[in-house]
Amino acid sequence: MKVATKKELFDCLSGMKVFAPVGKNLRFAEVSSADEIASPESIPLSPKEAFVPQDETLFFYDNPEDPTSIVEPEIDEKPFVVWGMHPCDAKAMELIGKVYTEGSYTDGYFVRRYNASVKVVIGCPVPHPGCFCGSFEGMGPFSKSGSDIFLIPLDDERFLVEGTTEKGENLIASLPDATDEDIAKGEAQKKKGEDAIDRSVPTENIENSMQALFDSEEFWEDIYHRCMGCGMCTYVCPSCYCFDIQDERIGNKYRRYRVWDSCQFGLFTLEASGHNPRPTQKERIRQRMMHKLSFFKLRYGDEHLCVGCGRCVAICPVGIDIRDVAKRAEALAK
Amino acid sequence: MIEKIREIAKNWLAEGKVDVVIGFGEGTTPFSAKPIFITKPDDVEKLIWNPLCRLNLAGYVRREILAGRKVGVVAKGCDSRSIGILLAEKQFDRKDVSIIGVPCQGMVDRKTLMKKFGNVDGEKVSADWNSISVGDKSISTEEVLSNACRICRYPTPVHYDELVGEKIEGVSIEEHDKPAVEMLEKNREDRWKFYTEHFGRCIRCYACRQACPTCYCDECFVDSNDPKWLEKGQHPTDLMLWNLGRIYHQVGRCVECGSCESVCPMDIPFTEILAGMSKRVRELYDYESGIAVDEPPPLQTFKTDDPQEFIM
Amino acid sequence: MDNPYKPIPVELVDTYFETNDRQLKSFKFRILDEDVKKLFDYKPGQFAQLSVLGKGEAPFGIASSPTEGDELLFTINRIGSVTQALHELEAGDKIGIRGPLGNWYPVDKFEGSDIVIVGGGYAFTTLRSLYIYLRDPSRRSKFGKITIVYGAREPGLLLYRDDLEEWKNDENLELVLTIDNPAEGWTGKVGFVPPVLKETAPSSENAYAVVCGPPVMIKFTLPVLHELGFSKDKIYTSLEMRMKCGIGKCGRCNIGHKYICVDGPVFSMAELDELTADL
Repeated sequence: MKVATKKELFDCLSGMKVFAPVGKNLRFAEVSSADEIASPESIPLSPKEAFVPQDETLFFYDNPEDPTSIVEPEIDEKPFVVWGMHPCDAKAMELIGKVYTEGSYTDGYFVRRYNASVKVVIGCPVPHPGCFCGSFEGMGPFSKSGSDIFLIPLDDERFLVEGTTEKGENLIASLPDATDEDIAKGEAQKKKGEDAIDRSVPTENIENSMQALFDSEEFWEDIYHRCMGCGMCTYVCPSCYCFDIQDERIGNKYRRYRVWDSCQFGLFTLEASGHNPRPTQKERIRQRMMHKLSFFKLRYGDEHLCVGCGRCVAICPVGIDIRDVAKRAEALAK
Repeated sequence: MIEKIREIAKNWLAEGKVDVVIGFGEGTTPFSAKPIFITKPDDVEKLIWNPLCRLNLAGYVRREILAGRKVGVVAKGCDSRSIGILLAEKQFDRKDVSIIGVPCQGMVDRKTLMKKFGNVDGEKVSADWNSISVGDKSISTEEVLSNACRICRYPTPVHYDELVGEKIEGVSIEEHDKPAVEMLEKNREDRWKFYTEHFGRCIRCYACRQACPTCYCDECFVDSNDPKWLEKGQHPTDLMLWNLGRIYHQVGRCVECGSCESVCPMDIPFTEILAGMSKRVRELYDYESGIAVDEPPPLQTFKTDDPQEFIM
Repeated sequence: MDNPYKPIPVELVDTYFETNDRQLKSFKFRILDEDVKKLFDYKPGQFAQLSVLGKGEAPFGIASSPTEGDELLFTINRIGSVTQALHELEAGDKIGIRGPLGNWYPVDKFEGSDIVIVGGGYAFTTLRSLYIYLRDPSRRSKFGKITIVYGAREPGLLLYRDDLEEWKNDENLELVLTIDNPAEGWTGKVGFVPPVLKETAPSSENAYAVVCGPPVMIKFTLPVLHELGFSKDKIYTSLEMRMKCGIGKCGRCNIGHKYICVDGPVFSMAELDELTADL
């Protein structure tokens, strides 16, 4: 176990691009010094854009009439750092990874970024508004899963630093060892977070409860009337991965690109014929809740697509609260 | 005041005057009130009225009426003006909506509050018209008012069936126009910088559009595929086009409720821009949107003596 | 790098109107690269993404059968911007293709059984592929009697009329064509597909049914099949939904916890019954 200030740790990572929360909205962007990195208690936007950019070119082409003119974008395979993820975010990237590597098709864009990344994850002694990661089995505010370097804030200046993978360990090798006092303090911080985190949201069998309520007007009417149909919940969510694919012309060049998309938009499932299997906000918000708390687990195995980060809860302007949805589902299904 | 609101709502529902009353209820997170849809007279107890009742409910009113329901709504000045503009645009008839008008002392900006108080999970939060407090920490409500509410000309509903509480005077035209004048006095470069900086942050979640009662097009220009007016990506030109395009569609229609700004996750300061637009419309056409329900917005009508000096 | 989004170039060999209303056109494509051609190994029921660069991509069921040689057949309804662009193509033009994608009709399972193919309107594309695959001389003896009930609004809207004509002489095939209203010169059945299927009454004993068509046709066909004794696990259909990636990544085409693009498009009715879905 090591100990470091922000700057000392930053120096260990020199030579690599570092993405960290910066600016007015604490978006993950490249920084050139430790001073630029905000130390926010909560990050309203998730770090997923460091792994899955909102707008990503799939390929370029010079001539739309000639598909042999397709050129793939240049890929930067160099290691880079994503600093300031939370344990929930690290878990979310693992979940997206399940989708992007499943079956016969591997999404090389995500995979090479994920593999090239050094994930610096900060544990949370104080839960953020809406957080409930502790409600999911095996998760919590100090879960190290998916990290390369794990930080525990000791005070305003210093972190307890642990290399959780070989890659992470090698990078921090030069840092001074933590004292027993530091380690004890780290344990106390950890206990503080573990004690405070909301574990009351039922998640264990929720996929079946949600399945049973799929057609229940009583269950869904509580939320769908007020859902405005914006895409904020999906865009701030670290594990929402749905995207759209489009073609565009830029000057003399063309590209095919993908952009984040949202199941909350009417266009998401609108077919060319005009038919829309999800014509109203009722089906759309239901789709999101089902995907988060049921479909993903049923399809991919043992985990939900929600990591309990609380961002959607905190940001929803009409108070749609996934914790509440899970609790009501559990209560109604009984 | 809330007792009176509940009483009227209860009576309307019991009499069958309305099928649903749209108002605000307690949210599940600190500093939040959520829109609620009351259909049973006994549920009116869920209605609340406090400075967190921020959103404009007129969009819901339109949607519910189009779904065939008789609608009651708890309306602030801005909600009533939005209903006014929807009436002027013949979206529904005045008889379809029953309005409980509530003069508004100004709503607070939740995002500012969250920044001021940080993590408040588990602590006791209270919000009234004088102060907002978390545990022992307290700030005045005035201090965290939304930008739009600071320059509100019509805090008292313009259209209502019942008015609950004393009328409240709005700010003067001079006061209202202050941010607009500041904006309009910027030189071209600075204004461009303002636009590129703020719109450049847009993540295209379309919360501004969805929260806006006058953004009700069946197919928004940004969603149109054929013709495809703009691209879906993050190119600055597209971000600019989207935001300016939406704003242009609001000329003479926007009531400056500030809903778009309040919901924007990227803190784009729409109020400063929209206030300038309203100022221009008022000066050119002597029109303030949502006041007269029998007069269509200026850009939806044509008069031979319309001012033309702004046309190059 | 693994880039499953990159299409491979194909050349349009031939294109012609398939229906008299000139709303549907058929397209025959040839894969340009010989090595890639060998990798494009498909079965009836699979689909591919056609890319008109500059316009976009859309998924279409493959209407040819792998037994027909190298050319890939698609029949496309002009309905959106991509299909409009496809309709404007001329022989010799090059576009992109990704595929084959999705699962296929369980032809191995069908061995030793009778097969009832029920189609309506434009949804006969992969059914064509299926029947041509089954009737291939190397394979035909593995299956029992095949019944095809295929309907369209009017004779000119039936797809693949040359093929249908040819199939009339096939042994061990009952081919029933129907149109909604009487038309001059029409010698087939008149009436909607479900009652015509009922009248045809194929045996459900040791038999599978494959149904593709507009939702309303499917809705009224299923009860007829049940009446005839087909259980849900013996009825297959192919689903459509808006798709983008076609490879289970973009999250768009789910019905319940399945993705149409990778878990489908072919599902048995028994499988669909298990799903909570918006259709």
